[in-house]
Amino acid sequence: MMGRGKPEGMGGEDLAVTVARARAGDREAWGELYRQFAGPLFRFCRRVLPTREDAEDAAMDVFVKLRGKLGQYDPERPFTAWLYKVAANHCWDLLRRRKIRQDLETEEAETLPLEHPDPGQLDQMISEQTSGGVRQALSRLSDRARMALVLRYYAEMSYDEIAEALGLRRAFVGVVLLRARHELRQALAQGADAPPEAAGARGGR
Amino acid sequence: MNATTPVIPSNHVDEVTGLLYIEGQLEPASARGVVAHLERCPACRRLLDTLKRESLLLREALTEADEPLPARLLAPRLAEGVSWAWLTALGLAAAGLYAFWNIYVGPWMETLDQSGFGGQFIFTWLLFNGASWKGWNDMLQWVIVGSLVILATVLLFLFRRNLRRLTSISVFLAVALLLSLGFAPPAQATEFVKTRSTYEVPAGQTVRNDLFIFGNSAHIDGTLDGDLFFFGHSLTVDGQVTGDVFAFADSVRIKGKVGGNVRTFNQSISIEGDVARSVMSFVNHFELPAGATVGGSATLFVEDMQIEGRLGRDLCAFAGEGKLDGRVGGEVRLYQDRHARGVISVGSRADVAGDFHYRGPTAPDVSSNAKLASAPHVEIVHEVPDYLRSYSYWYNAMIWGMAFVIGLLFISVAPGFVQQASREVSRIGAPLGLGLVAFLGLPIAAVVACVTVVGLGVGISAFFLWVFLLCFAQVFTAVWLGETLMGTTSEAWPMTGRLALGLLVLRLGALIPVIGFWVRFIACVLGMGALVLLIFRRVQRPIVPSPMAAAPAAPAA
Repeated sequence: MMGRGKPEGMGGEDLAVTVARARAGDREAWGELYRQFAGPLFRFCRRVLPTREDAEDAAMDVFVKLRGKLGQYDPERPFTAWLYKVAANHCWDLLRRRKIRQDLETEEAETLPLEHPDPGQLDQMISEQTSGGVRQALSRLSDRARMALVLRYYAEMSYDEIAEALGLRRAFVGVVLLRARHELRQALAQGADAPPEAAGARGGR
Repeated sequence: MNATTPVIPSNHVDEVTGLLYIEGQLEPASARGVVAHLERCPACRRLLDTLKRESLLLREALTEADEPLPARLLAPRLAEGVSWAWLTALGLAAAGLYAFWNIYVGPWMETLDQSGFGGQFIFTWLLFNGASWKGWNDMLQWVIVGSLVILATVLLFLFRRNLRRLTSISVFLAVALLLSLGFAPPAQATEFVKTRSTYEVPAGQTVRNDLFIFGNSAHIDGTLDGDLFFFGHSLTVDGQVTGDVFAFADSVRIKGKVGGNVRTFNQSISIEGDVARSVMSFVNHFELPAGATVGGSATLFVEDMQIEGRLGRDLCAFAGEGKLDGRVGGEVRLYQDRHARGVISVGSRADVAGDFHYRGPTAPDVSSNAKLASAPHVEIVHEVPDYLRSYSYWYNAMIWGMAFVIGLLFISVAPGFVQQASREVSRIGAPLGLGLVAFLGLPIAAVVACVTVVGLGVGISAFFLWVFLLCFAQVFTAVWLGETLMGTTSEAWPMTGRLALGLLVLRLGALIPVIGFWVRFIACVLGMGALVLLIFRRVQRPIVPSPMAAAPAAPAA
């Protein structure tokens, strides 16, 4: 499968060597990294940002940043994690700067109770969904909910990393993720009723 | 989002705990509790299975490569490709420049030298070209439009990411500018004359168009029905010019009539006839002898003036010395330079209908017979160091405010750009060197662009850009200074604070005698250099050295 936030066609050891070469200023090695990560990184931005153009711009910008910050990368840590951390910070900044974030504040995330799902209903809903339908529904979530899901299930970030990227306390990460799932379920339920063009209004570009 | 009362069965695993459990985020003790409960609770087992399936669905949906990679990312700018393209472009540009130099600049420079004009007059000529803009014919105007389009496109391309939010405004402004240029009133018939000797319009002859004369000298004894633009050694108007006279010459004598305005940059001007409208002169010696008249006002930047004739309206002069001994229909405002040694006198035949204001180091010598409408307002200004004068603080506060507003604009439009520029300033050496090159090179390039005619639009734009940078490039230096004092930041508001502090430090530095000039100069040059570096990097630095489509990864060595 393409993606999963992992480099395309490069083993962990190879990757470490390539990163080391790129850090030493080897342009070929950097080109190698670019080729490996352009796809995953673009898809990351595409999942998080509202339009394809935004995602393209952001992906380019993130690569420029990555190259500039390569010297700061700690080789002890996984390169992929560092890459997505930079990308997440960039995209989150972008969203925050545009002030289109409509999600709830941390306190609310803490205090607002969640409705306990009916496993039977939920099971049925999940069985009926396609990947495309889920992506459409994701595009209708609040920025933070979408971001949290992408960080966890696309970039495979740890709870600590998500907390750092979103500026949350670690203890809230589980709640934010669960809340995002609830938002998603709601969007999926609405999407099933809504006409397809309305459902794809944002994510379909 | 639902906010209803939870309906979590108290003796079951709640959903958050379930999620944390399947994600391996529970404390071992809690996890053991969950395992124990799951063994005897099918409902909770089912919930957790469902959550796991939901995770799986999410992973699949998110990681699926559902759309192709954009072409921009597939084939980003290539270092190798760029270099030959740039080399070709630079080669073509150099060839073009060489050709234009030979065809246009060389001969004109020769004319210039023969007319007694050295290189220092090139700037006045630049202004001259700007002033005579309306005279260019249609073709030239479209060439200008073309060059502006190219310049605008290049700028938009270079800064497209920073200006993203302002792109529509920029495009709108650019289009508006181009339309206004494109639909400017059609140019009048214009004649260009280049001569090495004297150009003459003999008495009795009438020339019915605008006339551009480049030559040693010109005599207008007949009638010129249009504007006259003269560029050469000496100009004499014995006949009549119905339009305006623009002259860049060593000496100008107007014995006949001018129907419009007279504007000159020259060594000496003597108006012995009639000028129907106003006179504006940057000149060493200005003379308006008895019997001569100027219908409108006179604005003079002059070393020495002798006014015995009649002025229909106001006289405003920044003068070193001189005498006013004629009739002024409006008010008189005289400003004498603080360092001037001479005296401005008002003679017995002076007749001023309006107020009389004087400001300068020595009181004017006003004859008791002079007719002044009211008592003269005389303000004596002694030479005082800047830091002792209160107005200089207001002035500095104003400059600070202007720079701050411009900086704020930069930060709000393109915070990333300002941040990068500030990083570039911090390298000191490179921006200082490049800044000096830009400081000296940009005006020269602007002049060269203007001289080659084709690049007039580009030249004037470049010149204005240079003036703008001269005033505001310090903004980037200020941000760097602020960041040096308060620590770096990428957020807009903290950056604004650093900008304010940096500008304050720079302004305070500028108040110090002697050193102040260098503080301003270095701040300006550093800012310019940072901008040049940034632009250079944007053009030069590719994101990836070779295309995506290249052969698969070679094994890492």
